Amino acid sequence: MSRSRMPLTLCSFIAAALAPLAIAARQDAPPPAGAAPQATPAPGAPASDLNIRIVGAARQKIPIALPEFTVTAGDATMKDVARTIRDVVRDDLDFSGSFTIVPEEYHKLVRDGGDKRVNFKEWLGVGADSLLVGQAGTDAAGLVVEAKLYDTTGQKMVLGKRYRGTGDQQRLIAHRLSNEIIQLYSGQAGVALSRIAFVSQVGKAKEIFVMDYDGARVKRVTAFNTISLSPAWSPDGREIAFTSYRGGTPRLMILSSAGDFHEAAFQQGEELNSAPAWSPDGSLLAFASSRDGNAEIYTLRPADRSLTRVTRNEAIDTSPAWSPNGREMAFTSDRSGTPQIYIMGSEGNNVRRLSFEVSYCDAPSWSPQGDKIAFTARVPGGFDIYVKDLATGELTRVTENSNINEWPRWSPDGRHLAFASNRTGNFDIYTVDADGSNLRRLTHGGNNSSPSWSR
Amino acid sequence: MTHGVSRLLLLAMVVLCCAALPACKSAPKAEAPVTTPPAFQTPAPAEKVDETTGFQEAQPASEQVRESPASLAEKLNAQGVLEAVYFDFDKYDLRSDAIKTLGDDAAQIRKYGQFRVRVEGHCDERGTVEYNLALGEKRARAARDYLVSVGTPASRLSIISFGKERPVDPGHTEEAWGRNRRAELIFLAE
Repeated sequence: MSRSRMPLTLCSFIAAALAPLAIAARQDAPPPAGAAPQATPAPGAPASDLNIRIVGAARQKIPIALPEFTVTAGDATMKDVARTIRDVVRDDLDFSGSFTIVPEEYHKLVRDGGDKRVNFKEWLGVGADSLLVGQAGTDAAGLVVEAKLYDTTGQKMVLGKRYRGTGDQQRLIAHRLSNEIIQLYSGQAGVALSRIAFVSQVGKAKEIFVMDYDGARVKRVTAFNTISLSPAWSPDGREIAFTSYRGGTPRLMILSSAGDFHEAAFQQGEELNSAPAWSPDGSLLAFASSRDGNAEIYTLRPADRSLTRVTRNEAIDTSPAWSPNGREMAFTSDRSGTPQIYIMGSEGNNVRRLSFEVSYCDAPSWSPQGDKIAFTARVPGGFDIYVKDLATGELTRVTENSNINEWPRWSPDGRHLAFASNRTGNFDIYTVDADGSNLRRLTHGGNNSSPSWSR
Repeated sequence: MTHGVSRLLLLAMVVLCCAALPACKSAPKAEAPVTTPPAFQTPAPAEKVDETTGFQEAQPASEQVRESPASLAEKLNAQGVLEAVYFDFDKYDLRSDAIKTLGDDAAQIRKYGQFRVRVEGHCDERGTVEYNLALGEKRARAARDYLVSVGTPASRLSIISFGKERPVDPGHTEEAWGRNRRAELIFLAE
């Protein structure tokens, strides 16, 4: 994050007002009060009355200030709750790539505008084009959080939200608020409520875990005391498919959010069944199986238990990854002698090779926008994450550090990638932007691998 | 598709919430340098935060009863009567040393005709889980097919791949990797 653009004193007010004119609010009225949502807005319609949106590569980051939330009522712990909520929102906005956070030390330069007044000019003077003010407290029913988002250039409130929840839902409330703000400014759905499933070693076993996208609230969701691998979220986030050795041989299992689990609905025997991937509409589960004697890709339609074989090649075919429209799949095959990424129609037609640049490429993930495919490539000294632009053929190296960086999986907004890396000596889950910036470590210690990012 | 739906939902929530907030009713006057922001007394029906898709915390399984006392099969396995065979990186074709070893193994399998044999394919730590599962199975299958070709009844043999999940050497050196790229042969006790 670049902070060099931030003005250092109030004297630079004019420069600040002119330079980062990322948002310019229209002077007309906010959304009609009291009006029920009559017509459903068309998808892609502006979510707010901000007339400049953040689009494309030239997108400008919105400088936003988030002073500490005030405490309205509650016990001594409320101060921590209020701070946590503010911090989570700040981190969400920073992560999104659409905002720069006005440094906290500038906040004290802004004089109080008086009783319940916002000193718009002075907030603008420290570079804050946008300002989030919030408060948290408890009442008889539980936690109450209120927040107001101000456009300081237009000197008006552009978002007002009130949330209720139980005491342990503070992060959830913060993420919801973050998504509202991100949606308002970028027009894109935020990822703050998304989650990441992954594999973690427990003793000699490997179990499936789930955490928030920012690494918080880690929860173990299997306890089979055996090998569980390759978690894959269903598009609605209510199921996770994975490979389990629970029955002695590697079989496909489905774990539901209610905690029950079952084998995927087809006859599974001694063969290898692995690499599950749900189609974008959730109607099909692609996977790799050796049920006909060799690792091939199949699709299962759970609704009628019908099984379709997709690939026919004596080499290894595995790791299917759906295109966002469900019409194609990327996959790994060693039919050329080493593993490479291929693309085919979802019925096995029109197979063509995607990766040529590196002799060993594996684990494809198709971006939700459909324009890029991320994969792992073997390089001298280790493995790195690469992203290939499908329109231009341009290849971007996302990681570079003489270690193993593998298993990239796109975030729902297509801006970030989760992956596993052993750069510290142990395998942990990281996120990184598709251009290699904004690296974050999500897990700390143990042996963590194979992330799957929920939609 | 779900993406679109959630976006619509978000839009709807923004509209609903703003509509319900009296805060939004009075737009601050544009020319006023400092305006009175609406107070926090929001009578709006608050949004209920509900984590509908929260996964249940899993409870660790209760201690399993230990397996049966060591049988002859387990003794033979512990003694290494059946030798493992080794593979080159990212390869599943049998090297000449592997073919020689499998010939000896076939004789042992014949000698202990009362047992079935499981061929387990393994890989080194390089490469991803899924590709290595498939590669490990190719290795197990190559060893199994050779045993069948020299007269071992296919009905006595089964295969399984553990990919890179069960290394014999936890190291990260060429030597460790070489020991881990293997097919192990195991007498089954039952």
